[in-house]
Amino acid sequence: MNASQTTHLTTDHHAFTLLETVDPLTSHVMRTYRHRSGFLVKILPRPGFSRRFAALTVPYGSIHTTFVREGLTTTVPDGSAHFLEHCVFSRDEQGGLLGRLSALGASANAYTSHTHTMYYFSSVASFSEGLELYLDAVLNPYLETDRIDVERPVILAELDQYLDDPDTVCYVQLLNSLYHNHPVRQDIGGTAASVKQITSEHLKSVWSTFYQPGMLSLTLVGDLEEMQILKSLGARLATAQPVRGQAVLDTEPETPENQPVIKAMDVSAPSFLVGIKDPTILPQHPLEGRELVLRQRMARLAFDTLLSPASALYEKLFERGLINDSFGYHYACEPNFAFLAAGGESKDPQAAGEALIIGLQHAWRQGLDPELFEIQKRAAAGDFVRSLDSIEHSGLVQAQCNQYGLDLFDYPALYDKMNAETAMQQLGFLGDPASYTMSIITRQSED
Amino acid sequence: MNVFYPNDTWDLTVHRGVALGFFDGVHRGHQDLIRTLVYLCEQRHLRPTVFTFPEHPLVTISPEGQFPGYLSTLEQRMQRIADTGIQEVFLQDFTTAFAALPPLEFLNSILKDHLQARLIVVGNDYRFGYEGEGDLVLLRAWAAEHQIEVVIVPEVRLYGEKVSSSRIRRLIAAGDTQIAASCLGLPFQMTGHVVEGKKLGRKLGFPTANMAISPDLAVPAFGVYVTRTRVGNRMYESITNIGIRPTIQDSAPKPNIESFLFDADLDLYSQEITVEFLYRLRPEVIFDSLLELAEQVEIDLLQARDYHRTAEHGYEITRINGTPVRVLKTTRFAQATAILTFRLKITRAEASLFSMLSRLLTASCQRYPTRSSLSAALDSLYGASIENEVSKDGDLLSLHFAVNALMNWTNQTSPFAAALDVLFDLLEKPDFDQDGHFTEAMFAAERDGLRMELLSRQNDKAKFALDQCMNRLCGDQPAGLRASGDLVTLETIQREDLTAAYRRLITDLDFQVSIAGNLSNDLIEHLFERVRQLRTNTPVLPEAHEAYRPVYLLRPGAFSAQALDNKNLRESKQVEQARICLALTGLKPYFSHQSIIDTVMNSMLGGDVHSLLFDVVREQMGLAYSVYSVNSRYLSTLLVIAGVAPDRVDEALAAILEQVNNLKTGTFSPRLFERAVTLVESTIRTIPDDLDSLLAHMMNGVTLGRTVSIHDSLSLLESVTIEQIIERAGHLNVQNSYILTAKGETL
Repeated sequence: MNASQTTHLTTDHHAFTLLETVDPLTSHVMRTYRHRSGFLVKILPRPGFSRRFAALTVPYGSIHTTFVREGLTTTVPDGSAHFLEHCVFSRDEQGGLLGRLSALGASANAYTSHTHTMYYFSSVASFSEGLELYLDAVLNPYLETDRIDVERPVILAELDQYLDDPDTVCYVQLLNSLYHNHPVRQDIGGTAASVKQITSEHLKSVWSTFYQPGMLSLTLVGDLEEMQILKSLGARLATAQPVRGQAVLDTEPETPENQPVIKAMDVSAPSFLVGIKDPTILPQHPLEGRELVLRQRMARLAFDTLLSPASALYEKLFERGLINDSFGYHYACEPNFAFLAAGGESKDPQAAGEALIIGLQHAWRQGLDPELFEIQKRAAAGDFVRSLDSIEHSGLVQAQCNQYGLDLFDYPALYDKMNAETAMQQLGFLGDPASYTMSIITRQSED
Repeated sequence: MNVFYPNDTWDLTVHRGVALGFFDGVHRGHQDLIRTLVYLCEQRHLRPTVFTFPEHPLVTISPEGQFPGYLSTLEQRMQRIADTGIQEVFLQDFTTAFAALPPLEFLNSILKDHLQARLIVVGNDYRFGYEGEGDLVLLRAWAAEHQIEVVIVPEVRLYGEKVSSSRIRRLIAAGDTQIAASCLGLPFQMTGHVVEGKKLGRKLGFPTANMAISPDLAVPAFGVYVTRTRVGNRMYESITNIGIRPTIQDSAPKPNIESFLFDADLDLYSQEITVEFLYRLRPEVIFDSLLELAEQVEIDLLQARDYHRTAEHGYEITRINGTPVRVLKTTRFAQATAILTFRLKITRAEASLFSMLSRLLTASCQRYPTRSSLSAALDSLYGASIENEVSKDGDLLSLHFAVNALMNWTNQTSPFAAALDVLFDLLEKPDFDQDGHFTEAMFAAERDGLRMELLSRQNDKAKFALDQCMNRLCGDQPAGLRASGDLVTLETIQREDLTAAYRRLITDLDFQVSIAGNLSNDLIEHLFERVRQLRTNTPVLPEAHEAYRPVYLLRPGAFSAQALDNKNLRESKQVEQARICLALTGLKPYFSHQSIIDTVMNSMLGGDVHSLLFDVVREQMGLAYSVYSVNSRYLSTLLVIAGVAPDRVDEALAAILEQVNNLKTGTFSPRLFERAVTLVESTIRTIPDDLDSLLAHMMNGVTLGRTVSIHDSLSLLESVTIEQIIERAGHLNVQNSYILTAKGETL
């Protein structure tokens, strides 16, 4: 596969500089506009489609509870990022952002992750109007106490709902076990206690540090009137100044608590998750940009080789009746943490988890099957091309790429650099039993 | 469906539901009317019957030559009526004696005495008896006196006007075959035999088939049309000229219909063909020379080909051993998808059986005897996927086997074509053991897998509450069974049962194939071959004892909610959050064109983020994080689901019911209605943005028994009014409620 072709254009488009790339596989075009304030716009033109998509990526997630701006350190309660997302969306006398967008026929949504907050919407008509509303809401949210008081019970109800969800409980329990100090160990929404502590000042402090144009990126996909959008953005950003907030994290031990964590719940199907802490990426030695993405993609291909239904280990565990179709795995790889979570429902979760740990250690000793690794590369390349068939999917993937300074089109070329041997070298921690931990949800006995 | 004439022997002991009308073309309005009758007859255990005439009354009562031509032959009309599920048609000659019958005599002697009608379904402009003196007022009064139910079915409106046969005749005469097709629910068709022509087309390089036209049929305005032409079971893309051929005609002008079939080299002489008119390219023109004509024909051919390539209209391209194959051509997507669907009426025993079978069939086959070898084969096809899904539409169980892959890769291979072969290999050649059954290991693994799937549904407390509510709504009716089966039946399944089920699947079950993407003719032909191989052993359907058999034998059945003594049930479990589930019955039957009103109403109540439930119960009152409603179309029911704090259940329940009441009384802002319409419109408009949505739209049309294009859907939406919403909401009835509370909370 060839690298994407890049053309640098120097023309000034309403205080934006333009960079155009063409994907050699599909001939799709991506235009990158960067405003002098640092505000980034990625445009993926898709003529012939009705829906138009926009996503605004804010580089602020649940783990950024302590941060420094201009020498001043601030700490906010767990769940602040998620609370702020709710406030940007929540109702006001005109129905809030969601209401105003739905009045235009737009379908809007948002989520908070450990590392970022994403606001996105798509619409058929009135796209520019929707975009204006969107930017207004994110760049000028109403964060006074009255709004926070209205939103708090809704968030507490959301947290209650997750407490009944065995998958969420199992996952949060796993992260708690994997990390000692890192805020990734906390649920993204926080706890009832932390949510009750959040004040208007906390949210304003987060907003004034991370929700500034210079920190944000906007991804647009569809049949768009680019110049009109840029003109409007240019006017909005005329006075924007670069702002930099930096999250602060404590150092984190390299290994997890390695005792299995078990919780009994009112479930019919027990479940398990095996967690493996990647000691390569920790707050004390973070990884960023292309290097991070290269590692992330290579490790994901390696885990596809080791754990996907095409692998010998999956086949073996399935045949033994320890796993079923619910089995899944995810390698999270962010600038200051990385771990694998793998599991699902099982009639015998303890045995399934133990068999998976033994199987992974054995597979690591055997080395990756180079043929299967190449097959997984093919599958990943195919996934990339298929993703471009969907306006929303390609938009969301690009919006996530923005955090790493990468284009969607960079992926195929990244795969060219990968092979089974180097991938396996990166996964040395698989051979260390101390890297593993496990979270189990069992059936509650009837009382 | 059997057809009876006045002198035929007629069963006078059977109680019937009767639809009245001429039903020329059996357009969308007729379909709503007749299908309403069939649906109500199923609920009331009556025999659904149509009373109609072989010739249009206007032919008898108007001067000769006044009737503008039929939209369908009698044969086509009877077939389309049979397709709705009608069991009997009574064909009464519209003689002068019949025309002179006084209204009450018609009702007494024919409907009551001869047809034994217990239910009468008519349109809102129905008139009857001598000179049309009988009207709905008379009909209702007479019916009330004789305890006969009368149902008036509302008209269907499209593009600002009522759908009617006379409107469709005008549209066809004006050459607007697109709107005519919208009103009819399918393209206008002309059937006839191919006759000898002047063979001018052959000399110009495009041999055409000339069709003899029945003089009774409506004829489209002269000109050139994009068409499809059916020859036997096979549909071909085509272009058709209708006219007197003014440039080349050398004798007295007589209308001629000639079609050129793309990518077909057939000798059609004397064969019966059916031409479907899609779109008029241009009117008939006199050219100065044959050269000019030939140049224009080249342009016409290019435009017609382009239309076929890009219009994204799904259609049935052929039937192979009774299996319909539908194609949807599009050039906008890199990937392609094919879905093979097997269907049957659901029963408790078979749901688990076929659910397990669908898992086994997608786990391995002779060519790929392990899960890992199959997965690796698909991954190597650039991440192709094969998935199985069991789903339920009312009382129909569907087993879907879907393959998705990139149509082409840069090395000139087609991952999709290869993946399609893998799917057929899975279905054709399962990996049976020496004893002729699925292997013990596979059997055990898939039973474990299905058991866990069924158990895990109970992990989700919202789904658990929904299931309890649905059980109470449906009772023992098939519509209440879960598609993936149940744990008790699962444990009784033996390997032999699965083998027998597999044999039934590939030979007997209703089977349909749908495919979408940038499809080449070679790929389509290859698909036909694989379908033919798979269905080799399918027995030919025995000769029907009826005169007409529906094209689609399986349709979702009618649903009646179960009457309950205790409508409201509360239970407790160890949960952090209480769950409320309400079943609100009273929606239109699933096939009705009026169901668009229910879609908007659902959006207003709880289907979208601007809705009453979301805005009031969640955002204003802070009673719930998750509160929404869904339209269970085949059960004509809205389901409201909410997760609330255990100590605020009653407050939340009252708030939900208040919002339902606000809909009924019209206590809502017009802005809510406008937003709902805008959001529904947006949902409709974005269907073509996704290949799977496009394909699902086509397949849903088949299940619903009516296909509505994106434009037609938007037109139907445009006709919805606030008054209709309030009227429909007035029919909503809380059939039952299920509340799951936390242990320790007061019940």
